[in-house]
Amino acid sequence: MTTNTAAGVQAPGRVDELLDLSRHRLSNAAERTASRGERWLRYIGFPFGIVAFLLIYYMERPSGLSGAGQTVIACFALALTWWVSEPIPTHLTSLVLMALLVFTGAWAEDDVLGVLGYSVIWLNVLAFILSSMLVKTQLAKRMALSLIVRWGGSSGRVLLAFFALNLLLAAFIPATAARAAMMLPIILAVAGIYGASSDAPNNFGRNLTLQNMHAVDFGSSAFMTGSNANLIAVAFIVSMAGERVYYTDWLFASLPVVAVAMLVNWYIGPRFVFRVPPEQRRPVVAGGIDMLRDRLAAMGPVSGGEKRAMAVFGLVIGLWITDRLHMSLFGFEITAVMAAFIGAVIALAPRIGLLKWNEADIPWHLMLFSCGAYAGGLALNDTGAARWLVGSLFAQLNIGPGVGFWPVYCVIIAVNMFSHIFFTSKTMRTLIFIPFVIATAQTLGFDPLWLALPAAFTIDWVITLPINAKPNVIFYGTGQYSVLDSLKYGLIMTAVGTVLLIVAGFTWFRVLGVTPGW
Amino acid sequence: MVSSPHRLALGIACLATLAVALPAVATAADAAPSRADTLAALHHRLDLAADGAAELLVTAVLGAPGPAVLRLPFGYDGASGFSTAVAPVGPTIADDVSPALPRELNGRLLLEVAVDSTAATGDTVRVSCRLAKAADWDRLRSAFGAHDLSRRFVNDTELTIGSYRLVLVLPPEFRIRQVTGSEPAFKPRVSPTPPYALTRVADRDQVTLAAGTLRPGAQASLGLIAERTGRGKVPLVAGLSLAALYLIFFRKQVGRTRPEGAVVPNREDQA
Repeated sequence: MTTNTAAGVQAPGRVDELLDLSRHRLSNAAERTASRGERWLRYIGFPFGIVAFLLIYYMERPSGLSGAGQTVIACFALALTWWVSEPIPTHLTSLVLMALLVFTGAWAEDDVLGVLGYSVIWLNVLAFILSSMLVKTQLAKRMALSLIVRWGGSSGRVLLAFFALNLLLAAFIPATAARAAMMLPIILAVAGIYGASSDAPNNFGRNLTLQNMHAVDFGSSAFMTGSNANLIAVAFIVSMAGERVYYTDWLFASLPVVAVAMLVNWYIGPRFVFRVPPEQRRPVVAGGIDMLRDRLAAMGPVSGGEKRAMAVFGLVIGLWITDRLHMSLFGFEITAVMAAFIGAVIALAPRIGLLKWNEADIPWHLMLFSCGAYAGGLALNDTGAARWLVGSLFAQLNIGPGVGFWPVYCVIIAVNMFSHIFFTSKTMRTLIFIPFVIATAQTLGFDPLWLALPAAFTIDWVITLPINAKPNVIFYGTGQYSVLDSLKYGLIMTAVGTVLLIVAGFTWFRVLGVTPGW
Repeated sequence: MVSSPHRLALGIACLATLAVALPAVATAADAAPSRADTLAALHHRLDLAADGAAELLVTAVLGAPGPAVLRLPFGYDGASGFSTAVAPVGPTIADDVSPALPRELNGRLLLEVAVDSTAATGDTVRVSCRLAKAADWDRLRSAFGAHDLSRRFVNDTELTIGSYRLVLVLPPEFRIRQVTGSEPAFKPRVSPTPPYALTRVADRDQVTLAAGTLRPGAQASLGLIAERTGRGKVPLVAGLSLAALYLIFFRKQVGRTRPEGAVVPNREDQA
């Protein structure tokens, strides 16, 4: 066995330090450093956000848009600019947004404050408690070491292994935040082994965290049950278009596209987007894989604490996987949040539990960041602004009778794909977009399935900004990448996904009858 | 001839018959004018003015032929200046239509209008009137310049209304801030289109609520917040001042020397 070490860089005892995740608490907001370009972006981002707000706030209001809707769009434009350019921390931008929504009268105070009690926030908090349990009991360290010893000969193999693992999990666990929480401690440990920490992130860490985020997000689109939004899209296709979509229809059409997208992602990330230099392609510990194997052996047999952690986490995962059977088994359904609740209560219980409250690593700054993002998104929805924006967009596209199917298909896929940047909820996006797509198809005389099903495949592509989905916030909390990094990689992969779905529309989907045949 | 005992029995039988039949006859007589006990549609258009007055146009589409006395749900106090028209306008119909007048019946304010036998299903009766105080803008004003213009319509008559529509037109000085709710409620998972629509006609905001069938006792409602049309200058001044101050006080951020406390960027490994 060869030893793959960045020679002379690491002290022998460094491996324990790298794997000691308790040293890198997520609850401490990462102090990231900025390049000169990023500092310029921050400098102009602040006034640019304000100008964007003022321009929208004072512009003449278009017909069909309420005053509150216009104000919410203005507030959201400011927040989006600040989230991307980061002149102030992202969680502070969220607080500014929430205050603005109230003081401009755009959204009621109770509604704004109530967002902190939403199930998505609870799920994140509970997921971090469960994640802390894995860290404290060293189970995360053992899993990470096992994965590295098995697959970690090179960074490429590790990244590929994570894609495979994510795709497998997506088939069983529909809650994306839950999947992200499961992966988080393992990812942090693996990143540490390759020399990436929140204090000193490197390109391997960026690729690892962002690729996992992408895999958790768009991996869901491989399966009809991959996310709740997929099922809503199918429900619309059934109710509005009268077309039945079976699990296998979805699977056969979308799984190959997702698999190819993951392979493309795996290939271009470390080579073109965030190029991983040779010294980061191997574990940065003296002794390399052999040393890590020794460390794994030194951990000895699985401890009682690890077994209990496995049992608690296994229970939660079991409840997540079997959610469709709860009604018949228990007479009620245990949601993803309540399953995490059960796990967290056991984990924190005195004597039988594994964690004390002070050991739970909950990044509250991320929760506030999430709150702001959700408040903005919900306000856009509640005021009708999101619906108006989408309706105006479709009207501007001027898709009328006489236009051929394929130009319409390409436009619909591209618009649906890139629209996620401005949304904070997949469900909301589905509720607004899919009916528009079906109505457009019906107006033009196309089979609604030809447009609606491929459009539904775009729903889980929410990979550009931390605000776009729950897992994105969780991964952003690792401090391994900036919002700008996420934007850059996300836009590239969104473009890749768009091309893949268009190519599939011309080829594979035609074979399956999802799009019109030859 | 009928014997005495038989006369007595006959008398009792007649009284009993009368006792049973009279209320029925009375009810029938009361109901007779309302032979058309369904309305195909009922529309209310409330055209608000800045002084709080409003023009109300009630349009009823007959669901059955005449003759009938229509008792339409009304519920607006202080209405005056009623005028009535029937479409299609024909001398035989128009002449026979009684002027619509509000009438209080068991605590309910109803609009009563009679149509004659020539009225056909689908004919339209239009009643317009003026409301002196439909919106007291000062009293309706709440926090952040919001004016609550929420409306509730209850079908407190025996008529079944095929469809109900409310159009609320705001004066140019006001605009719609937000629709806070409606009955029927907007359920995007059931129907992607909300039951209300916001439009602007001739520089005036208007909102239209469309409800389905309203059986006796059913209701439709619209939660609506309006605000004054103009935007204050405070956000403009505050925003520009804040932007200017930031550009001045944070200019060192992009200077040649690194800002105080900044850590050396770790970007050398990026592509």
